[in-house]
Formats: sequence, C-alpha cells, structure tokens
Amino acid sequence: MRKLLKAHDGKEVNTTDKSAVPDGAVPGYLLDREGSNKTKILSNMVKQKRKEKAGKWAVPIPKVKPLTDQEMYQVVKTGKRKRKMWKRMINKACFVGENFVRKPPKFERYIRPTGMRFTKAHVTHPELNTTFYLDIIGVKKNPQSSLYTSLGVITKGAVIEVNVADLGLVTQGGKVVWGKYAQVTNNPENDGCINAVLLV
Amino acid sequence: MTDQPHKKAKIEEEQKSQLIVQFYNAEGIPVGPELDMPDSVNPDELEQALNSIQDSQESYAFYLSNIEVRKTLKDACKEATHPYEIVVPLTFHPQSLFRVAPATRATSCLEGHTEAILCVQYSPDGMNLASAGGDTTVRLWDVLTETPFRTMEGHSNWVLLVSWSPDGKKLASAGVDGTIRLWNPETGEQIGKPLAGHRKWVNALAWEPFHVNPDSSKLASGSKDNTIRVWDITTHTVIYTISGHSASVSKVLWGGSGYIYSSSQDRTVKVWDGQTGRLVRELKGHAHWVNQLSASTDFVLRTGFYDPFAQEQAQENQKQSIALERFKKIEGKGERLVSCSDDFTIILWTPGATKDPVARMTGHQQLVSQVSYSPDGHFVVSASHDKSVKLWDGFNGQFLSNFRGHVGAVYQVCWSPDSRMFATGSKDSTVKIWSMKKKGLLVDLPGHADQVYTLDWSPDGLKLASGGRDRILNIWRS
Repeated sequence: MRKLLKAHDGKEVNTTDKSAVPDGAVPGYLLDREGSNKTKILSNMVKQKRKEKAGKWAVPIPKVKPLTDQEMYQVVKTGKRKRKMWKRMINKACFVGENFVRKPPKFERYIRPTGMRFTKAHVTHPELNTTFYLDIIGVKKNPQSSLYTSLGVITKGAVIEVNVADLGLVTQGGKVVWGKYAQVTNNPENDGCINAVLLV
Repeated sequence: MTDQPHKKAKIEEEQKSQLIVQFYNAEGIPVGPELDMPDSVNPDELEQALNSIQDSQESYAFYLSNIEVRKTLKDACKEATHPYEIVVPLTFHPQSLFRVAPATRATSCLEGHTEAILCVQYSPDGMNLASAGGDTTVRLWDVLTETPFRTMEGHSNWVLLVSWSPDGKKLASAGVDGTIRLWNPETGEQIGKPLAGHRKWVNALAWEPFHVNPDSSKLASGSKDNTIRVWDITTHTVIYTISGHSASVSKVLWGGSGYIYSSSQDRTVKVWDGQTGRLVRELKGHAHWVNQLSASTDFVLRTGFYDPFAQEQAQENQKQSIALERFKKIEGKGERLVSCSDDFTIILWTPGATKDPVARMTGHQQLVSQVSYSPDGHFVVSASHDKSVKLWDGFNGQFLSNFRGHVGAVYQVCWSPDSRMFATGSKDSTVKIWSMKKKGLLVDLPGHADQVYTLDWSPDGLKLASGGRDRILNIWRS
C-alpha cells in the first residue's frame, strides 16, 4: 500500500523556469559571436589535433573505388634484353615537389611523366561557394595506398594540401592560415585539371 | 655676368612659389576658374577666395587628393608629393556654421537598469531619451533634469533595440523574444498589442521617413529568422513579409527615395521597393557576413523636420515640406550606401543607380563592426574589432585618416550633428571623442566600469548618452 501511495506521489523533478531571463545580456551585434570564448577555442584546438592524429576526416568523398596496379602504372621495358622487369611509369596525375631531381635511369623505379605533373588546383570553398586557383603544397593522403601518397599521386579522393594564403583565412586565435587540406573530386588524369573541395 | 645665374635662380624661386589652383566640390565637379595663388596661402584665404567665387558666406575644409590642407598649401603639396607644374585640384567640403562643443564630463550616471544596457537613443528633437537592456525593460529618462521618468515593462527577454518614430510621438522596442512593442512616451503605456511574427530575435527596426509618411504609421523590422516584416502600426498587422534573404538580416534602412535597404549574413545587401516589397537590386560584393549599413541620408531621415541649426522649429503644417527639403539637400545625386562586413572591408554603393560597387575600402585588419555616414553625407567613419577607427571619403571611398587610441575592440560610433566630431564606444570601457580637424583624439571619456555597448549623440548636439555592461547610463555634456 505504501508503495502504491509513493508511486502516485508527485515526483521530484528538476524543472527549469522557462520564463526566467538569462544573464549576461549582449547587444544584437554580438549575439552571433558569443561562441568564440577562450575555453571553446582551446577545446576546439585539442579536438582538431586529435582528429589530425587519428587521420580521420569527415571528407566529401568518403569512399573511393580501389584502383588496380594495372590501372595505376604500366611496366617499362628495361635492360639490354628489353624485358619487362621492374620499371614502372605512372599513368595518373602527380604532384612533384619543386626541388625534385630524377635519379639516374638505372636506379629510377617509378617514372612520373612531366605531362601529368600538376602544381595548381581549382579549390572550392564550400561555405563561400567560390572557387580559387591555388598552389598545391603536397599530397597528404592518397586513399589507394601509402606508396602513392609518398609518390605524390593524385587520384579522385586524394587529400592534398593547398596554399590558402590569398584567402585571408584566420584561425580562432587570430593567426593567418596558409596551408589547408582539400579533397580531389574529379579524375585529374581524364580531365587535365584538378578540382578539389576545401576541408573546413 | 656673375649675378645672372643668381637672378635666374631667384626668378625660378619666385615662380616656384606660385601655384595654379582649381576648386572641385565633393562630387568632383570643378567650381570657378583656375586661380594663380602663392603657395603660402592658408585655408582661411582659400575660403575667402571660394566664397567670393560662389558669392556665399560659408566655411570650408579643403583636401588635396586625400590630404587636408591645414597650415599652408605648400605643406599639403609636400605631403601629397604634388608637383608644382600641374594644376592643384582642391576638393572642398562645406562645414556647418552650427558648432557643437565636445562633451567633456559626465553630468550624471543614472542607475536603474538591473542588467546591461544594450541600446540608447535620443528622440529626433533630442528632448527625450530611451534606453533598453538585458533586464527586459525599456526606460525613459527626463533629459532636462537627468532623472528617471518612466519604466516600461512587457518584453519577456532582453530588449535589443529602441527606435523613436520620426514624429517623436511613438517609441518602438524589439528584443530577443521576437516581438516588437510600441510605447507612448508621454504616459509610458504600451500602444495596442505587441507585434508578434518573428520567430527569432529582431536585429533592426526602421521607420518610414517623415517626408513620405508624416503619421509614422509604417515600420520595417529585420530578424535573425531571415525575414523582413513591414508593419502597419495603426492596425498592428503585417503589411508584407520579405523572405528573400537566406541568412539572418543584420540591418534594415528605409531610404528617403522609397527603397528599403537590407543587409544580411548571406553576404548580400538587397534593395526592396518600400511599397510592394519587390526586389529591386541585389548588391553582391562581400565575402562574409554584412554587419551594418549606413546611408548618406541617415541623419536627416532620423531627425525629419527637426533642424538643429534652425533658430525656430517648424510649424505643424510645414513639417512635411521642411523634412522633404532637408532630405533633398543631403540626397544630392542619389542616396549612397556603405556596408561593412566580416571580410574586413567596407563597400560603397549607389543603390538607386547600379548594382556595382563604387569603391571597396580595405585597410581594417579585423571585422568591421560599424560604419556611419556623417550628417552632411561627406564622410564615412568605420569602427572595427582591430581597435582602430578609420575615416573615408563619402563620395569616392578614399581613405583619409586612421584614429588609434582604443585598446579594445571598437563597438559603436556616432557623429556629432555638425559633422566636426564623432564619438566611439569600445570594449575597453571608454568613450572617446575624435576631431575631424585635428584628425586625432579630442576628449577621452573614461567613466564606465565595463564594456560600452551603445552610445548616442543627441540631434541638438548638447549631450551624449552611453550605456554598457556596467548597467549605468552616463550622460556627457560639454
């Protein structure tokens, strides 16, 4: 009986008074800017770092079609007998650093043809809806294989780093950002240009 | 033989001290003939020359490209690196005869608000003062005795804005609760029911100008919910709703030539037909949120028939024609508009003519929080979170001067009615008054204990009111 009575008793629930006026009034021109307090900046920075470490990105193209080795490169005949041995020519677009020097032919395993080399990409800022023609700084990650990342092969879905100094982007702390990642959205080897979306 | 080169040098020197001067008005139209003048001529003598050309009795400020002539023409030429061989183009800006003395002391610190003060505004004739704040009340203050007059309660959340109708007989307030309330300033009672319709907070209020609508029966409001609503005050209903923006509307202005100008966080400024709410023009150019708008006719539209320079004020039946006359005088070739943005730039537009920007003013290093046209429409001043205030030409957008002195973000700026000074309120808890003539700090007004959120110079020029997070309303006088 006591149990039954207790069950029918009003429960103690923490209710917030909805008519109460919140403290800390700010004028209209600051209402949209409240979010950028220091603790939030810090926690955001920590989160960002963690994300970077994990190498996980919420990217526009989360899945890419795996490419076979045959599609990636062709075998080049070498040696006195002109047999197909170990030399490969890459058929995809590449980014090759400015100070890259080719190895002597005998030791050069991967040939990256100059015709397929790119230094600039059309990068779209998804929030501003504008496209900029920016310099590529490097290839951060090629999802096909870590080998292609180190070779600087750019295929659809690859994450590249671009120079955004011209955009005037600023971190929440107030420093100017110059390098930012972007994901390639087209097949550069088919189109002859690189289109990418900035990861923000 | 020997003294010939000396003579030649002397003649050259004499020639060198002569300049050919051509006057231009602010719109770039030449006035009078080209004049031969010595380079030691000072602004007073230039003024005399110009007055004799124009048959007028006014005072002027002279600018060579973007450098003001302060001592002599020689110094200005030197500063502007202008060669002596070419005609010197001098642009003149008329100065009003009416002079405002800079406020130098706080005559009263009025307590009453129990939360931060978010908005203060003087009525168009400067005889009433309203303030609103985070304690959900709107308060009226007696201007002459500087005492509390009325407290108006009704809002259920922070009140962000107060706005006097151009006839001075009504007061509108709007807040975070999304409602707009109208008050009778005589009795302190609410007029009718609240104007409800906005789903989120209201960012801007704009009354129809006095010369179009002397009854002040129409009010436009822009809100965080992306819409602009135009209300009929007499029936308390919406006339039409504009939902053309895709993000929060940050500012609404009702221009004197029948347009409504609105800026938004969707990076655009839009021009609407005030009668029907049809889109007239879309002004694109900013790359980030547009924060504020200001029109060259802001001051005359705010004050309507009230002329601070006149000895006697208008009779009831002449008010509309006087308001129209004052508007036409400032309007010139058409209203000009400046918009400031989070992309650190300011853009000058002529919304009545084209959708292309006239000039893009760059120089600020952080977001620009406010821009304001001077009452005479000749200058623009901008306040930024980079702690600086910058002065620009109101006709072509040229940079004129930089005012540094604040140690925190500058939130608000307002002009004195004679266009000779402006005041700024900042996060660093000070109000500062800057001089156009000195191009520097005139008076520093410390006194607030916390951030200054709002300030307003009364249209009669006698007093300045400021409020902020310390909940105290300060009134400053000379």
